Amino acid sequence: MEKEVLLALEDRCTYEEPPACQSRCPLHVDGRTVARRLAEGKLGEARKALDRQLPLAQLTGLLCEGACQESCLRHGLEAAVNLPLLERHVVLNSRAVKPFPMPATSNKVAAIGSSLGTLVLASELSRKGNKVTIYLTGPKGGALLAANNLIPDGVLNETLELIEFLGNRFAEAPGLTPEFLAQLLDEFKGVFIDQGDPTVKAVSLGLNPAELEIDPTTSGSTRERVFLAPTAAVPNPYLAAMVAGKRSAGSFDRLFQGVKPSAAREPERVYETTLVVDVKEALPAPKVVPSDPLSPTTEEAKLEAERCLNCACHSCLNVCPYLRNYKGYPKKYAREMYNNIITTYGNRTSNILINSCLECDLCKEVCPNAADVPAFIKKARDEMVRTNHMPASAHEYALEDLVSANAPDTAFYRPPVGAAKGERIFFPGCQLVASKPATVLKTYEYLNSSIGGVGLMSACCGAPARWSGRAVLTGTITQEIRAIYAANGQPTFILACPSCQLFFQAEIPEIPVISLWEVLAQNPPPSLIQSVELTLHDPCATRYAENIQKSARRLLSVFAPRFKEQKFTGRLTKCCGYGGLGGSANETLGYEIAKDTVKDATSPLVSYCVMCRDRFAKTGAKSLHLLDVIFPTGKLTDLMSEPAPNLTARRDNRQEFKRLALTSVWKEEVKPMAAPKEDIVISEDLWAVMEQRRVLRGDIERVIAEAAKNGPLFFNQQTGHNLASLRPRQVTFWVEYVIDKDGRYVIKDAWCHRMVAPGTPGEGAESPATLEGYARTGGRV
Amino acid sequence: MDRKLPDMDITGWVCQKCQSPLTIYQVRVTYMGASFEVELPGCAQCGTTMIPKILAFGKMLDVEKILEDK
Repeated sequence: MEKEVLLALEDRCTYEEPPACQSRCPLHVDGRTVARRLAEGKLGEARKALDRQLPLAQLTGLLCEGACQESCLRHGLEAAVNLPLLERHVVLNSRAVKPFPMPATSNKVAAIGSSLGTLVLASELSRKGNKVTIYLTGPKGGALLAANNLIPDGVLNETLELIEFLGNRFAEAPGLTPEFLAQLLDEFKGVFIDQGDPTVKAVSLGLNPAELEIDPTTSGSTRERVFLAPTAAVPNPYLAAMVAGKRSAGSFDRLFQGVKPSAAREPERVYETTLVVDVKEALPAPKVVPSDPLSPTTEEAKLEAERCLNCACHSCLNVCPYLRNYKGYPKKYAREMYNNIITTYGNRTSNILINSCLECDLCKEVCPNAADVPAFIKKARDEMVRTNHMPASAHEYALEDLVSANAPDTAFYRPPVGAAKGERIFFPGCQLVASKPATVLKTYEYLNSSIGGVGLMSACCGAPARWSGRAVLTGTITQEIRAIYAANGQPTFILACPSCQLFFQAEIPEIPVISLWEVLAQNPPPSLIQSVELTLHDPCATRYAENIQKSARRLLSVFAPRFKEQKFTGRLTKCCGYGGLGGSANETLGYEIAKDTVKDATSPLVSYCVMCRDRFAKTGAKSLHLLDVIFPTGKLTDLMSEPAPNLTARRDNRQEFKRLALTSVWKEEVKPMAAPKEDIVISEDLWAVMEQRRVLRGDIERVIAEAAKNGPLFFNQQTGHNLASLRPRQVTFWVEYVIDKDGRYVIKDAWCHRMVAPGTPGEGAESPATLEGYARTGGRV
Repeated sequence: MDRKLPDMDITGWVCQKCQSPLTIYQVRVTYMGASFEVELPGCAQCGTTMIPKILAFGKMLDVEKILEDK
């Protein structure tokens, strides 16, 4: 996988971008965290967040004028969150962690004047042991002495003492002259002139007005090694002084290392964040007016902090349980998945992350930057298969099911009765046939009687091969479909399954397709109006197929006019958990996703994808397929409560559909399906367990056949149970049973595993889900 | 990896072929090209191994997943 693929996704996900208040603050104070911590009642944590970016917060936190305010998203609603007020509250009610003096370096700097800029500079430089000699031109503290309304008694003195404690020194300036400046430049590595101190006049030091232009990046004057804080006449003078002190400290640091003061200053700039925040659902929150504007109560500060919108982009996380499940966000996932792919040594811990995605595109649809997680996932899965690192267990059952759906006893194609070829082929899709064989046959008969010239093809289109990253298997299946298309006069395929339709359009685009729902909407069958209220669910594969969604609505408005829309509908519809085989690789999550999708429905659901219908039914929700409404095979109230057929029944239904169609429509003689072995008894409870473990009746029959021939492997003398085992492919099956008085095999339990242990018959047989296995099933449709 | 497996109840089970009671001993199991020894119940005479359900859905499944992620 190329690194560009990673970078492209990373670039589009803005989750890690700072909120506007932080990007617009010249010191990049993390206002969002300060507010969140205060809202949570965690004052100490709020202080830590403040200390991280705000130098000398015990003083500066009382003085900040809040340059962030205009960028606050609340500013556009009621009023900006009053971050300066919150900072004051934090500083007034928490103690700073007292820094420890660092061992002194030989780097020495002189500062003239002792106002805020100098104190910030000294505090910053002494963090690395660099010391400042502060030349006083007036009283210690400069302009800060006049700010006693903002600074409580004692705070300034404590700060000045701290500055000395850290190894900085105060000295009297002999008088401000050009010679004095020259002497300092001789003696020190550089000089900081704090013009915020009213007793400091830079012109007296011989600097001409041009030299007093402050470089916003370095805070430097045009004279080498001379740095400046602005006078108090600038807007937001305290903030400007803090910035000058901090930027100058950064410049001195660079000088000490022999680097230009302007080098690598990019991260310090004020910029527009790319974070996109949706404020549509923000609840109104009026500004808090504190009883004492300089010292809010804890309750007032908390209320004001709670007004913070906690700016973040959660668009995709809000709608996708899969993305929420791994506690991250697309940018983080992209890095994890990329590392997983390029791992050459160690565990690939993100396999499950890659394989659980539904590839339903909802995240891309809601993302303000259209970050395409599913496209990344597709590439990742392809790469895993290509390099032989795809876990077999993730998709093996789904692929076996695909192989079974395309095996000769199940798959078929027939042209319309009496014709050599037809203009159209009805392709219901393997899962619809597996769920509702009788309904599919009714539908086919209607198509033939209404529009005529329709052939029938029952097979799997190959979508599961694509979802699981099996490019070669995908190619093999599409070749087979192409062959039928070419040999039959290039008919149009009428597709019932929206996933088939997406797959045809992507993988076999030369074959013309039309949705069954469009055909039926244009040629509506006689209607039986259903009075029941239903909730329409759009299958995720129709997200960008507006014509199919419209057709489904046209049909419903005729057959069940009292239908309502799902909360997430149309382009915003949610997946049932089947898409991308996410639910196959991660059954637990797949089930949670189905529950999440049905939770907003207020009446029985109706979908036009049978996997949605069956997965909704598995959560206990009443649900129908749209064909149930159009061609009901029973009372709708009964159909909506029918459980989804189990895995064994699905395979039986596909075979039964072939037999039904060929005998009733084409009047062919077809051998009846091998009846289930009557001498094998499986209880209802065990069926449920087998479903969970993906053990089919056929698997049990094979193990019992082996045991009947060669005897079971083990026998329990106390319980009378036998235990037999067989490894027909990459899975070993175990069946525990007793033989009753009529000679029937009563199955007590059945389980399976992949690990190979010695002594199991059939050991080492290969999986039919490989391409070789697919070919071996041979002679398909 | 911890090669001690959870207590397995093998009371009453005998090997059908040898009729000898099962014992727990070191067995070499393999998956995805990796092989290692674990304690499993089986017939000491003919070497046929039993994988009880508790293992198939517990420890053995965990190990399968670890090996798949290698």
